[in-house]
Amino acid sequence: MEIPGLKRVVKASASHFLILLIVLLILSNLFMLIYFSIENARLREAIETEQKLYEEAIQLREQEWNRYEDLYSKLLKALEVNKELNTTLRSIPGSVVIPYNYTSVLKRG
Amino acid sequence: MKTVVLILVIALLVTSNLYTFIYFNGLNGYLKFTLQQMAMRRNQVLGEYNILNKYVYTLNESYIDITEANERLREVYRSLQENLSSITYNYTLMNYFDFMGKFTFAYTDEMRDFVINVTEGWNGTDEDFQSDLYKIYKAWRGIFKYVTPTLGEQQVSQSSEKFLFINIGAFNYGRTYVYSLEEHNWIALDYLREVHSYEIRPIDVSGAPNSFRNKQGVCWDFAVVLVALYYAYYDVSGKSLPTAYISIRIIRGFQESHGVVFVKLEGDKVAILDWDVVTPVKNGMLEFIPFEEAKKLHEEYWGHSISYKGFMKGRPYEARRFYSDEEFYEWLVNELK
Repeated sequence: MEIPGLKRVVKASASHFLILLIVLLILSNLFMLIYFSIENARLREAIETEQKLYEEAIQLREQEWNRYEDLYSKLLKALEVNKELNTTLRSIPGSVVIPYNYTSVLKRG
Repeated sequence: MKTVVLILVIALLVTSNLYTFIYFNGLNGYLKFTLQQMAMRRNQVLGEYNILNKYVYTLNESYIDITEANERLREVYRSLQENLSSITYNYTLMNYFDFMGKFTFAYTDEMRDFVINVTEGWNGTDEDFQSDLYKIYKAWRGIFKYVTPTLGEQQVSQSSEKFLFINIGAFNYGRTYVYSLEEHNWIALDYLREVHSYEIRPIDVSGAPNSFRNKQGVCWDFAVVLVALYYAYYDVSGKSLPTAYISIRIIRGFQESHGVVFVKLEGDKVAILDWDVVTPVKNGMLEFIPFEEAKKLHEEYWGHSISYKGFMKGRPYEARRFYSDEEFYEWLVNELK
């Protein structure tokens, strides 16, 4: 037994349901697009910032490296000077001041 | 028909949704991974920076320490130079031991003239050479006056001369550690940190030149001058014999030190010149006899047993102590040149 008009009602409801589903799917797609676009833009920005910080860190390391090399060469020079002073001062103690008129005499000893 | 179209649209939208999710989620994951990697790289670089910073800090501390030390040392050197520049005569500096080695047996023009006058030169014969050695001894013995040291004084030269002497009390060294990026290790660096208590003061120096000038003193003065006069003669004649100042010990109840001169001909043949010539003198010539006989005569001369305790000689200066008669004999035969 068939209820008159029922088939038409069911058919209309199904159409509405499908249209509603389509709308939901479009909204969901849009939401995903917006969410991920924003999120990825934020990440790109964070990467850019991180890149800048990384470059700054590299620069800092370079500067520190140059400072190290500069100081190390200065230290080696200072050590060289210290060595020369040590040699000079070491040669003095226990030295006798010899008047020049004695130098020829000393060659005969 | 309409329903079929709607289902197709839904299928397309579901596919699109899935695609969007997979694509954007993948991109999102990639970006997150990239960010994480970059943060790690930055942290690594910052870690390296911090380590370098620590090395630089210690390096800087070491550098400051050494430059400050250098400044202190320069100040000491400047001060010494200022003191030296106040010396009015021309001078040169010489290590004390080098100086004493040369000065002890040096001869002056006056001493050389003395030798030439006494010997009238060498005629080229061995006889004249040995005769000249005796003449030099005799002439020097004739004008030398022995001065007895006063009570408490040692038998050391009385004919000293004043020379300025530079002394630095102490050298203090420091050690600092720096990190070597080449060696990848901490290395220790030693440096002169400071010197203490430096001074320039007069000291007494004894040697043949001033002992000869004074013509008096103790056995040391007599023997040292005799060696120097022989050196002068060797230079004038162009011929030489091994000659040395020998320190002896006379054992007579108490032990007494004394200085004599040994001249060696060859092997163990020697002439010993004490206050007198101990070994034989024939026809005005020094005679060289074997050491054993010479020692016997030397002991008879003093009336006591003798041990030879050390030597000094010039050209180049050498000195040594002997701890046994065998050691002395070994040196006499093989090393005295």
